[in-house]
Amino acid sequence: MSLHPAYQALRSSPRYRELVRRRARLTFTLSAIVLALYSLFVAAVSWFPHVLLHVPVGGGITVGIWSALILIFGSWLLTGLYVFRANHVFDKLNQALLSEVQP
Amino acid sequence: MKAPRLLLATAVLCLCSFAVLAQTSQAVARQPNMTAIAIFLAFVVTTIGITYWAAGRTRSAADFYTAGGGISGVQNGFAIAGDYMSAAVLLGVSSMVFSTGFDGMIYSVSAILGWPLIMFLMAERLRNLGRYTLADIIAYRLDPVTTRLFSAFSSFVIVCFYLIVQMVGAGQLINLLFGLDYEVAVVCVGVLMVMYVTFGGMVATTWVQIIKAVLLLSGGILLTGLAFQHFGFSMERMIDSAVATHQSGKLILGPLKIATDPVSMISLSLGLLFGIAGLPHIMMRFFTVPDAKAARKSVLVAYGLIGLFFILVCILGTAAISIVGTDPSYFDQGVIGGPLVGGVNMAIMHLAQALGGDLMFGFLAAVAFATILAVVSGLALAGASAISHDLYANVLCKGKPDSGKEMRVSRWATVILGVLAVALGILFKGQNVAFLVALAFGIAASSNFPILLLAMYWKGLTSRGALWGGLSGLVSSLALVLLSPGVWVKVLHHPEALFPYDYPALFSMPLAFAVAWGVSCLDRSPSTTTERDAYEQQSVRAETGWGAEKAAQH
Repeated sequence: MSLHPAYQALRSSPRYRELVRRRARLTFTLSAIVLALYSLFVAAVSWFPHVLLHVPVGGGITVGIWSALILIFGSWLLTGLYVFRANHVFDKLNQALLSEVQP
Repeated sequence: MKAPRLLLATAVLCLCSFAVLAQTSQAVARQPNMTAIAIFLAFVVTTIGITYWAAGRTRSAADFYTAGGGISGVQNGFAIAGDYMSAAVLLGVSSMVFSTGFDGMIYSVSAILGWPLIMFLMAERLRNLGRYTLADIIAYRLDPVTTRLFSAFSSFVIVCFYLIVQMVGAGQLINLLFGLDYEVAVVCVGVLMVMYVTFGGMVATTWVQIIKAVLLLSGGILLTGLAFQHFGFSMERMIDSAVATHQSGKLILGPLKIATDPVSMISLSLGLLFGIAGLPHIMMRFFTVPDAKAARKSVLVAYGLIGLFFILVCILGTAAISIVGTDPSYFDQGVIGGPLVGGVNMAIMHLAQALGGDLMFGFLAAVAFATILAVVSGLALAGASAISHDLYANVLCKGKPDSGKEMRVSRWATVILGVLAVALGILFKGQNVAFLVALAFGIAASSNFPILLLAMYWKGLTSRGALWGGLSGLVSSLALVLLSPGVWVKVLHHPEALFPYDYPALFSMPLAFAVAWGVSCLDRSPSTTTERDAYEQQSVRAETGWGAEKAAQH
């Protein structure tokens, strides 16, 4: 199957390579951060449960609860960061790229 | 048009029978709660009204499967959240916190951290490549017959297991809360579900989810407010009294039972983390929005709501430890520490009774029922799409079906699924079906997810690789769950489990990846070159959205 001319044009555009590279860098970094933090959490639960019992700043909330809350809220902020970047950078790049093939 | 008249007739019939039965059933201990019945009937009337409206807007197959791609990002976010916040979460996670403390929070974190990963790696690609079902993406460049057969089959299996859990839960819950007979309750759920889906398609199902998500979240927020008020708005006092009254004491602040061994813990977390991305009823929601931008927005909204909801449920479970756990009237025969009235999953219901009396209890009961109804509707739609779009339109009709006929097939598929769900619900009455949730997630993470991910990201994947990889994940996860302590010992009553862990994903998911990789590499069939070449076109479309399905015009 030969590539449709529009796909061919898009794929060989420098903008396409830039878009793919920048987006991949961001998404893989963010995924790696979430997975790394979650793995730390699972490791702590599996091997160092006593660490989770400390109460660091008072208020009765333990390290375990803090880390769960930070994981949930922090990764939500990261998804927000991704949406922001995608709306402001990638979508513009994509629009410019698509206008190359559809006048 | 005959459909709306029939719809109305069924609705009236169902409502009447429901109201009458709720009044006359004598067989249960608890008095039917009038608030619960009133709120639930209001929900049913509203959603039937919406279905009536949606029926007029469901004219084509695209309307039926994906609401014509015309759902906005925020609406879809609420609907996704609605799909994911099932009654199993409301009742199950709160009871997990109630009985084992921090374990519930570990489970919650694992169950929702798949969402950011879906956002980063899948959401936009799903929207750009997909049309109606998950199989559309897998079969984009692979052999349309075998890969669709596989994907439709595994989606159907996941939907069926999920349906059993929901139906059995619905029967028990309604029996307890409304005083309806188990069988009648299951039939009621089945009838309403079939009605929403056959007449209203995705439009109605989406709105049912949105309304239910709003109800569920407001119920959760209200109850959390009452709980905090009870403890003088002090988190510290809530946690301290939980520790002081729970029989495990301070141990409930750490992992208690969930992480008895690291292998189980890791296997459970893998299944939960990657299972979401293989659940057909959730993934098909990405095809209901107009473009990739709306897909992003829906994940952001959905993940925010889901995260909030899980945190609320954990707080409520904690509050229940000292409020419900010290009151003998919530325990069978008044023995504190014994079984809870109505079973362990009722902790949050008793908390509602304790904090807000009959009114709050009735509200939460109605919302829990509405939740089940909404989730089974989403499941039925996903199952029906697998049958009519994948099997009928693409395998039987080779991708050139008559649109009207496809619609009829999808409606009949929904009716058949409804009958099947009711039959399974009655068949599994009184059985412990909790393991089916782990099973559904395990299968999703080991069959649909690996193939979906490889199809989108790996040029080398071939049709044979996808088929064998997916099947090996499906079969191995099924077999491992069957041989696990949860089924082999507890359900089948064998003395010892042949596989020591309850969760299969740590073994079955890597197996699926490995087989898919190995078979693809060894595949010498003539079609592989075209399939690999087509990857270029697929990735351009996935990255840019060029050529993606557009929203239908209304």
